Amino acid sequence: MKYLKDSDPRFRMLGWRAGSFAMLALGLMVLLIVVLGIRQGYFVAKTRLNFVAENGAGLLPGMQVRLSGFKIGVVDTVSLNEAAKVDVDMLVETRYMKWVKPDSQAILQQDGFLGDHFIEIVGGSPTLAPAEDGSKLNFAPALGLADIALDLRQRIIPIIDSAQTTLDYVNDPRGEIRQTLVNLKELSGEVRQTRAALDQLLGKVDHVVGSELPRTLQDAQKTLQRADQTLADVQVRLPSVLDQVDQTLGHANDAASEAAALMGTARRAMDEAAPRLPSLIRNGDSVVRTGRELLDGAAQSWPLKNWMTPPSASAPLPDSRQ
Amino acid sequence: MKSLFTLILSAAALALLSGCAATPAAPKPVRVQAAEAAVLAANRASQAGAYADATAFWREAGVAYASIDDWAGQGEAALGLAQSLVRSGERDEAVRILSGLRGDTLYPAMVRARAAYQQALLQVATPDVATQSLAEARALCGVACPWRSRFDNLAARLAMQAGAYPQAAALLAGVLASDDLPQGERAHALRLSAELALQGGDLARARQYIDAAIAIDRQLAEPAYLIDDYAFLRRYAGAAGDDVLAGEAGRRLQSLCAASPDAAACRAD
Repeated sequence: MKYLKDSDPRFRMLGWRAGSFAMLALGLMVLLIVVLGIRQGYFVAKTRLNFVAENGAGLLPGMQVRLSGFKIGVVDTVSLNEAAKVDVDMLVETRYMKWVKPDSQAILQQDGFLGDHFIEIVGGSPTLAPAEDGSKLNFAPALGLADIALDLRQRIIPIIDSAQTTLDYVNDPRGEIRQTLVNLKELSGEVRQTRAALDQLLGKVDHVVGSELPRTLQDAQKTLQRADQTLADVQVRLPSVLDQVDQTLGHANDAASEAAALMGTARRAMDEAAPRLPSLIRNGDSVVRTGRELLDGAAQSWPLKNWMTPPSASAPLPDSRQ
Repeated sequence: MKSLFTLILSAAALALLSGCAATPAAPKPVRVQAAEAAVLAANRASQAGAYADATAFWREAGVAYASIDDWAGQGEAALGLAQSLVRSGERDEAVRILSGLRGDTLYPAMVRARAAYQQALLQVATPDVATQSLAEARALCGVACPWRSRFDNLAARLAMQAGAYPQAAALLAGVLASDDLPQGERAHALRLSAELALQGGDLARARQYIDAAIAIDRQLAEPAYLIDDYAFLRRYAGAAGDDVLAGEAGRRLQSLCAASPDAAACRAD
């Protein structure tokens, strides 16, 4: 028996309407989840890659993996291994794997100074096949501000120390530079004294030129007179010497003529013999060949063939040890 | 009695005369004779160590065979030429000739198999390439290959270079079990087995193998092989801590290297 009766037409098929509304909302929610999942890459085939980092600073599950600035995957797990290093697994969309090679490098980078960290995959030989599922990449950690400052400090401090050492060396009163300056000062004083001595010396030279030079010129004139006399003697003896040289050249000319005649004779002999040389060589070659054939034939006949080992008629096969 | 003696003498004289009266073999064509004479001369020169002369004779044989369209003969001449070039230190030219043989199907398969094998020997420094050449040699040589032991020895040597010691051991065991094994290959297999045993720490077995190898190599009288053996023996003595043996092996090696300074082991020492 029905106690309540819905006479209002708005409540007719209320159950169906509410159910339809709920189903529609549920359907939209599922559709939204699917669309968001696709956008997030949940339904895309992925390839697992991994690398080992020295420490886990900045490495978190879910962080982006990028290639040329585009997101191509996410970090799946970050865990500490037995060697106290950090194992990092990445999931990279398989459609991008054609650019990820076995020698590609994973670099930890950061968006700006304060942005999120992400993994950038760079490099890789174009000729290599794409990295396979489970491949291990090389990892290069990014330098943070503290690392850069530390690196800068390590580079600058030796320079400052070196500059300090140099300045100490320059300022040392017993050092070589200060001593050199002192020596230079003393040297300039000595140069002044030397100049005074030089002035005195030049005065003496003036005196010498005035008194000693005329006597020296007289001596030179006497020497020239003796040289003139010697040249006159040479002029008297030169004709006889030239006659002897002329005779010697005549003998040399005769010897050259005889040598030329000898060469001519030799050349005629060679011209006569030359046409016969090829036939002589051919005959000699024929004799050698015939002799070789005779020896070969003899070696193959009884009883010589029993005493000699015939050489192989084919190329020798080298041992595997060569 | 006298008549019997006369009868025996007559029969002997008849037999001798009939031998002399045998029809001589028909002479071969002149170019064939020239080619075969060049091959014989090349082999004689190789045996005498005159590798420059051997190279010239192999070239002469190659030209003679080429002029009568004999590809098997040409191939033999090219193989011999490559070998004498290797002995003369012209390895690049030898490799070029062998590559040409391997790629030309007009040469018989056995010639091409030998070319691939000889090239593999020259490629030992690059085991991957040598292994490929050796595989081609095996394929061309076929199932009943007469050079299987050489191929197996070379394969074992390449496997040892690559660190595949179990594979090398299996190959060497097969070689040593062969009946018709050339002595040079047996000695090589024994020396490689000694290397394997030393690698595995089995000093007693290593000594046993190298002693057997030295005994054969002394019979073969090949200086390079003896130098290899004594270089290994000195290494073995070092591992065994036997200073007396190390000194003796060193003195023998020094004497051998003084006589053959161009051997690879002497240059490396």
